[in-house]
Amino acid sequence: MASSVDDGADSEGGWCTIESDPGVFTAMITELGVKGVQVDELVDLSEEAFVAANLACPVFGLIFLFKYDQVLAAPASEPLSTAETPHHLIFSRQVIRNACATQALLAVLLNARQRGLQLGPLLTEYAEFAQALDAETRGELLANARDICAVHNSFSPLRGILLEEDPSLRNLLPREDVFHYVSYVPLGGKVYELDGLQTGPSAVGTFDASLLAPGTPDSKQQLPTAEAQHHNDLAWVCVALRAVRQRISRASNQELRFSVLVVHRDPRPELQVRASGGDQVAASLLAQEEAKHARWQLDTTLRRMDLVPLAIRLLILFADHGHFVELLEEAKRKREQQVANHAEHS
Amino acid sequence: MDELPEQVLVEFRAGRAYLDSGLVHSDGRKGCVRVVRAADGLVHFQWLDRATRAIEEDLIVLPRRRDRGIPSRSRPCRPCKTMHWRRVHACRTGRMFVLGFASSDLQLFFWLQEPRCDADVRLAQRLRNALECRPLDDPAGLDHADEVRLSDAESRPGPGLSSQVPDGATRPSSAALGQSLVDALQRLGASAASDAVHAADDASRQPQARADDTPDLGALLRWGPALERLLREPGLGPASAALCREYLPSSIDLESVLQSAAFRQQLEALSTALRRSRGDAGPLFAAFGIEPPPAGDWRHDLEALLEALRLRAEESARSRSEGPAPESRHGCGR
Repeated sequence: MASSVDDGADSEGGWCTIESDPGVFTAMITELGVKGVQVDELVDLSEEAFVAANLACPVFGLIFLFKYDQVLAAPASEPLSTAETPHHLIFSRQVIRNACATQALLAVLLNARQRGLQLGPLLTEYAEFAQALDAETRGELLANARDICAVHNSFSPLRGILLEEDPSLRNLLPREDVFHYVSYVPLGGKVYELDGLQTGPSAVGTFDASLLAPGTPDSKQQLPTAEAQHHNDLAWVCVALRAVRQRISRASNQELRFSVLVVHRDPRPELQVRASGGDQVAASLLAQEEAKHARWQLDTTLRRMDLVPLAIRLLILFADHGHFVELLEEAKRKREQQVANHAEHS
Repeated sequence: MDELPEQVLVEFRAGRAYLDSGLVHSDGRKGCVRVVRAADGLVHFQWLDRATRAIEEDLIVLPRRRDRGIPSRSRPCRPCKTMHWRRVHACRTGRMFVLGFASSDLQLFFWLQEPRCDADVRLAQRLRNALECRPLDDPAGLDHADEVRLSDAESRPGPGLSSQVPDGATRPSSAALGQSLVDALQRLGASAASDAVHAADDASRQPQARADDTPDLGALLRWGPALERLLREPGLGPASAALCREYLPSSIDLESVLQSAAFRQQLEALSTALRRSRGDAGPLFAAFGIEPPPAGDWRHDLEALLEALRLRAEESARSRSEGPAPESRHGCGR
């Protein structure tokens, strides 16, 4: 089994660092075999903003990521013991730091099965193994999950792959901030905070799930109506957002870098149906969503390409046409402007 | 103790190649790469000359620290990552791979001599699995990035990896400017900056105390009205379009690339590495086909690179005004 201590070169077990943007997460989910799920970023953490964002429900989970900070690292409440943890809630301890993002994503996906999410063959099998294990061993399961690791690493920028292969190059590269990821999921009328660095999940609040039958994978039930789902989502997301806001308020006055990602249903299939039926609003929303996905796809493609040769050849081309000095002056001018702006605002 | 017979785990026809001043030169001899489990139970990576049958490279694949001890049949070999096998994407006309090492900057290059290249990915998989003591068909030996890149190369028009290599012994050539970020950084890393430079650099990165105002390479190519105007110039337009056709899939335009986070990050990484290196970037200049600037008191290699480009621009402006307009020069090393 991979060890997280011991040999420096092996401490990340082959997992590279990846970027934490919604496009990366959305594409990763698809490549892991899960269909119909999208991730979007919430810029404003207020309830009004969440409602206004009008994200397609069901909302399967939230992922709160932040630049790692001792104060922020404390959980919302005392972590539950194994005995106190609901049987169907899958919680894993974090074993590999670089796998943090994927770990948080899986925390949401694995716990979304009871809400009707189809995981696809890879993750269904993974979930079956994980269900039977304790939290520590689940962490090791992920650390050794080579298929998942391969998908994860395929989203690593070249820099991430480079550092994983040759950690000594860290001296040459810009410093990377360490981000920590915490997931929030609803289960049986309660909202849970899943943080792999803690010993167990934390309960952060309850919400009114009375419009829905209690969600367990065993009970046979009708799927809830769209409206009931929407109400349900609003209720639990508000509880989670409150917990996130409380956590942020604990941070000292420094510039805090954080992000909240919402894992929810991909709206496009439904919008497509409505648009073909003549719904103009749906058609316009669909166009916006498709444009966003196209941008994400482009980012993924570019991230996997080696763009350095093109850049150098362009610079040489400009030099050969006598235009290099202009570029140099323009760059210096922009930098001076930036420094001036920074001085103004600080 | 009973000795095990030598067991060949993976073997395929491959030649050797050497990196010199940024160019990879192939050795034309016919050879074999193999991974064997020797009589003593240790796994070896070897290259041998097919004509003489002499083993010219014989490396023991070291297990992880805590596993060292007397290997025996009863103790399985534990996976380790002391060696890695990667395709060299910079070599776009051949099937070049490199064996790299976690604990040193040694790189050994090999080019496939198997007549058909459609088994290359599978051979690489088997080799990686053998080096890491997994079953040979384990999907973990597949390098996802390898395959993604392969389809990129095939969809790109112009010179690229040909899917039909008629003669298995055809020698590959590589464009000096195919120097990838990975190789460039490893090259700079081989003569890595000391911790002292690193610490000083961190101090100078504070916005207030910034004495170093050398712009990042990415900053020079930031998309904006100035750059757009330049690209519309009569000479530059077609030449930059040609570069795009060479490096980018037809669906991606230069503007998108220059505005992308990936572009900015890769150039930031290269720029930072150049800032932390001083006087060591000679091979990099050669790889880019740029004359290094005359010896001077450059703060770091990024400054030296920018100076080299500035001198080149001056030189080209001079030769334009002096004689009949020359054909627009392409970067050398194509």
